[in-house]
Amino acid sequence: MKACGNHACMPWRIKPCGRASEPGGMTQRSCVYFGARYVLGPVREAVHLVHGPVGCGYYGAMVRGEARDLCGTALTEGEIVFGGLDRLRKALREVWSLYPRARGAFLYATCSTGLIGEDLVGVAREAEAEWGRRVVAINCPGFAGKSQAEGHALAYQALLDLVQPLSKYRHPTVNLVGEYNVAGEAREIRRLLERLGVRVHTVLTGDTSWSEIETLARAHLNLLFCGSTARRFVSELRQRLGMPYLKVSFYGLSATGASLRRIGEALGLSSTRVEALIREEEGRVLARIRPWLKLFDQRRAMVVLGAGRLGPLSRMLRELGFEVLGVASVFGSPEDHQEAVPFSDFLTDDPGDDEFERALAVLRPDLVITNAREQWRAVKLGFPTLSFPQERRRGPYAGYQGFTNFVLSLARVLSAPVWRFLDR
Amino acid sequence: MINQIINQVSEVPLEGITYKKLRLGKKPLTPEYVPPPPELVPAAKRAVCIDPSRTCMPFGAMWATLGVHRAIPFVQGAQGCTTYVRYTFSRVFREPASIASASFHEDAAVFGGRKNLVRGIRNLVCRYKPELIAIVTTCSSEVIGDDIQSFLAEALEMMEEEFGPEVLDLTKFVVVHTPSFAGSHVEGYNRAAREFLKALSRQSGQPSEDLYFIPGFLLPGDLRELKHLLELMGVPFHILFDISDTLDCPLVGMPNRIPYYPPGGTRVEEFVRAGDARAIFALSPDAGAAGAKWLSRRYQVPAFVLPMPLGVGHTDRLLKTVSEISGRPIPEAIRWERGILLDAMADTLHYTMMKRVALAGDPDFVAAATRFVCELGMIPTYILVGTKSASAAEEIWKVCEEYNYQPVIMNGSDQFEWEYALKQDPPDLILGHSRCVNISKEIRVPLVRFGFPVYDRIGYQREPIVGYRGGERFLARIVNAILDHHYPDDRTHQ
Repeated sequence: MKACGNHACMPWRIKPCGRASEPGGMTQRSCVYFGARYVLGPVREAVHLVHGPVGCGYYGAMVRGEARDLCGTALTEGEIVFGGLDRLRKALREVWSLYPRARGAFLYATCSTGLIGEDLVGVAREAEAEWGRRVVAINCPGFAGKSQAEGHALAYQALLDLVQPLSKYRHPTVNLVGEYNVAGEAREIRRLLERLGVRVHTVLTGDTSWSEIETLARAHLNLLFCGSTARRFVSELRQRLGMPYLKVSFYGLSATGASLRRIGEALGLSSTRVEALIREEEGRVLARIRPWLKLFDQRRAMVVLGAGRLGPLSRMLRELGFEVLGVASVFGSPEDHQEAVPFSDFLTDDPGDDEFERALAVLRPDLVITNAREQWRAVKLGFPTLSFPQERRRGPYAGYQGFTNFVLSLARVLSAPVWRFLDR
Repeated sequence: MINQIINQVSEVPLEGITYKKLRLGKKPLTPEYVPPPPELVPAAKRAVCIDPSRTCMPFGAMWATLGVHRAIPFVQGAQGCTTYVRYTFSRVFREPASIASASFHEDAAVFGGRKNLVRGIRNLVCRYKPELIAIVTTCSSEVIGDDIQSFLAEALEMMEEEFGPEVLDLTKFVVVHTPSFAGSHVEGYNRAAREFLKALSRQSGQPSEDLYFIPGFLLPGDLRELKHLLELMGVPFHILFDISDTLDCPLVGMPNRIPYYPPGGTRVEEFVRAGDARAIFALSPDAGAAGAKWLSRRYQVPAFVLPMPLGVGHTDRLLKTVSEISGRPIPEAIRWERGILLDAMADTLHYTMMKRVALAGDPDFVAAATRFVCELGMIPTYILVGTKSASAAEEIWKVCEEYNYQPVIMNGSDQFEWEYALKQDPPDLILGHSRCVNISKEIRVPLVRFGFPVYDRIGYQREPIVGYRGGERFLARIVNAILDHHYPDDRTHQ
């Protein structure tokens, strides 16, 4: 069934992006603190100190896959009333002796400390003067923006201040920016680039450390993966340090090939080498995925994801023969929507639970791609669902090996016998 | 062909948690590890809290609300306060959890949350038609000082004007004040239990024979086991905040009516009739006792605050109390189940006796589990009570005095302190939640998962640990972990 263009039977209201969520609308969006933690969470050689009640520290530890100590000040009622800065100063003193190898600290604000007006920047400056190590305060109370997107921006702003102007490496070297290393995706991208003789200095922020961020200006080129979180960061770097950047995507065969070619051009690599790599890898992938392709022909998919992956993922589905019925972002920017426009009839931002369910009921897709947190709603209503970001066990989806993984994940979801037992 | 493809799949790189990367102090065996200065190890002497074993108050209130039929928690705060909790429910139960947010942005922080609450309630009622909305406050709304009751009155007034007076009968409202800085999720559940009964329960003057239960953070499998025992006893009963059929539901496909609501949950009428109850039981002294006590003060319903029925002694105590109150004898079928648990304990005593075990988790779970491991002849060594609790500490002391053990109790401490102790003095077994995986891997001691949260194993929410049958399952879990880890595979038992 193809949904008609009639406005009355639109499965969800078409909302332009960038608007604040309606209270009580069951938004999937999160808070600014979440965004900041999402970006900064995996940075090594840093102490992450959350100034706020215990819950923010507890949840902040699980925004990304890896387990790492997360420190918090675990404020109680007394400190909310009389101010928690003394506790924060004491905590900052303690973390240096608990983590002597840390190069610096990230200090996160939360709703409660934002509201009682704690001066984190002042404390950070004091601590820097006293201990001689960088303390970066991130003013990210949960309410300070419409969604986690503002938190991503604040986090990258904080990272920008760490970068020092340095001389370049002799060997062609790049940084991967806005690549979050979901299930080891950075490793696959690194493998491809290394086969071209390009080194990767650091992966922001999927696989990085404090010292790698400080020296990231030694690389020649920034490769921008997730535009909605990191575009400001790379364009600032271009302005300040003259570092060029290149928007790339490694989702899908055509995008990966095109990105590799553009990287080759930008770094002046021999095009025969690039073409040979693409031919070899593509050939291997096509041989592997061929038996599954007939599963995907004319199947209809619906995509509800955060922001940056909308366009690349829709393109990937289209490449595999899917029809994309509807696309929704949770906190997308106009650029993200622009990327997805050619692939879908319906496009919206920030769907509520009821709108999501109505869309499922009206469109009846054969496949739902949605984020890990909300996948069970679609599963419960009986739709084959693939979640993003994927668990580690499913492996990376980026690059050529990742594309194979993606196809196999799709094949598992679509051909699972469980759906046959449901009476529709 | 397919086999060939599957063989190729294993070549695709997979990546786990590599300890190499955890440079900041997870792994004692790497050269990067620097032991912490001993004076900073006890949490009480630190300002910094590292890896707490408790989360924030609103979570507990939302858990309770999701156990009510067609109920939606409305979280008066920023969006993160709901997203994290939805994430937790999704990870633990693999079920959708409908939780609404008031979406606090900067204007709410400046002008207060009045507009958000009024519009949010209207939206929820119009779009989701819930039977109950629990307004759960957060740090931000409490710091701002939102007057929730007057906002709610205004919201209702505006809805009455817009839709007519019938709209007021559609939905019940409960307000639960849960600023995160004033306690943990355990206290949040406790407050929710009290506020729900306060807002909804009435006394009709015709006393019933029904027994009421407030389960605390028992999981769906536990609740089903509890129902099984009570059905065998033949007593009429109601379980308040019954998540067994809301957070563990069958997959049936597209429902006739959307938005989707799970079929189960405690009905609002059950709360209303609580004032007539024969007795009310709180099965978690820290999560729910406030509700039972309030009901007993207000309507003179006898309240029993019992420990979680985990293990032989605690289950005996619950059944004996139920039997005394209802006047019904304990049936043979239950004695049979008890016998099977005792048999399992006798069968496996060589594996369990004198094994040293460390425990971590929520106070009610840990206190009850301590008694159970003592009953199995195990020696509790380090006990982390995630939320500071006088009653749990007292209970643990009582047990350990009875069995003559001297464990170290870390009451309200964080995992950093507990893990440090475990690194110095590794036990034979760890009983804890999923966040104890790191230390278990690090010191190579098997972990038996129980309590909240278990998100890295499948089906634990369905498998009971309470009651005799649950105790037998839990014992099997413990013994199998010991067998897997401490004993080589051999065939001497055949």
